[in-house]
Amino acid sequence: MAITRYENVEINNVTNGADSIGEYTTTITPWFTTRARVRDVANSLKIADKYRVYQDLVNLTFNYTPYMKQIVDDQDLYSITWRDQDWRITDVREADDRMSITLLCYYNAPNTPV
Amino acid sequence: MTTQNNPYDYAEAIQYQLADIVTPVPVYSNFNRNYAKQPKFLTWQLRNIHQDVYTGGIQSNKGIDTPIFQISIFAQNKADAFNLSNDILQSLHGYSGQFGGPGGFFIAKADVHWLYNSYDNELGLNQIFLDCMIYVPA
Repeated sequence: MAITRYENVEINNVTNGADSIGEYTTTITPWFTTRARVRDVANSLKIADKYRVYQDLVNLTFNYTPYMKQIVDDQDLYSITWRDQDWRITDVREADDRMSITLLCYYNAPNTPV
Repeated sequence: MTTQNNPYDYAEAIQYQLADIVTPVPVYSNFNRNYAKQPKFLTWQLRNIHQDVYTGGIQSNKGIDTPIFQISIFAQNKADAFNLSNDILQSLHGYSGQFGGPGGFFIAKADVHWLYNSYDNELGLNQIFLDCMIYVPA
């Protein structure tokens, strides 16, 4: 029997701006807390002779709600806090029956907040 | 007798002044990584902070400071780029007075050189570059 895991996640608003000396800023403010079905947690490490890049991916499935549709429409304006990391959304899949939305989220280090 | 201003103060003043001129177009000192969603924006780079120095044992025996900042305009639409450059020219060229808002400083003159326009094929953005020298009596 397949195991289904649901875990608490926090959805954040992402605001881009500039500080007083013009440095690019990314500000995250919590929007709401929800539960997501967590699947396919995948951590990978790319090693070159001078650097290491960690790129982690996870699939999070949510119920289809108006808020989630908003996230689908503007995925760059939202991030997800899960396991104390700030995950950004790369791919979005809406179920054809409009019952669920799956977000493929990434976290990478060194971190470049966009 | 003059003192050397802190480059950080210059950076704050330039950011404030440019943002004030072109608002609501965003202004950055480094590149705008979100340019896919912000089709026009400005960046600036400060260089050549220099006060003339005179001979003698007194360190504060210096002339007026003449830093230059380059303004790079990026826009998907070429007309937007030209019009933004015009906004900056009209507002800044020949300007004398308070620079950088209430927290800024007095400048004797701002001198803008409209350098050239260009197109970045990789980014798909039109660019216009200007140099602005400000004369800061310290």
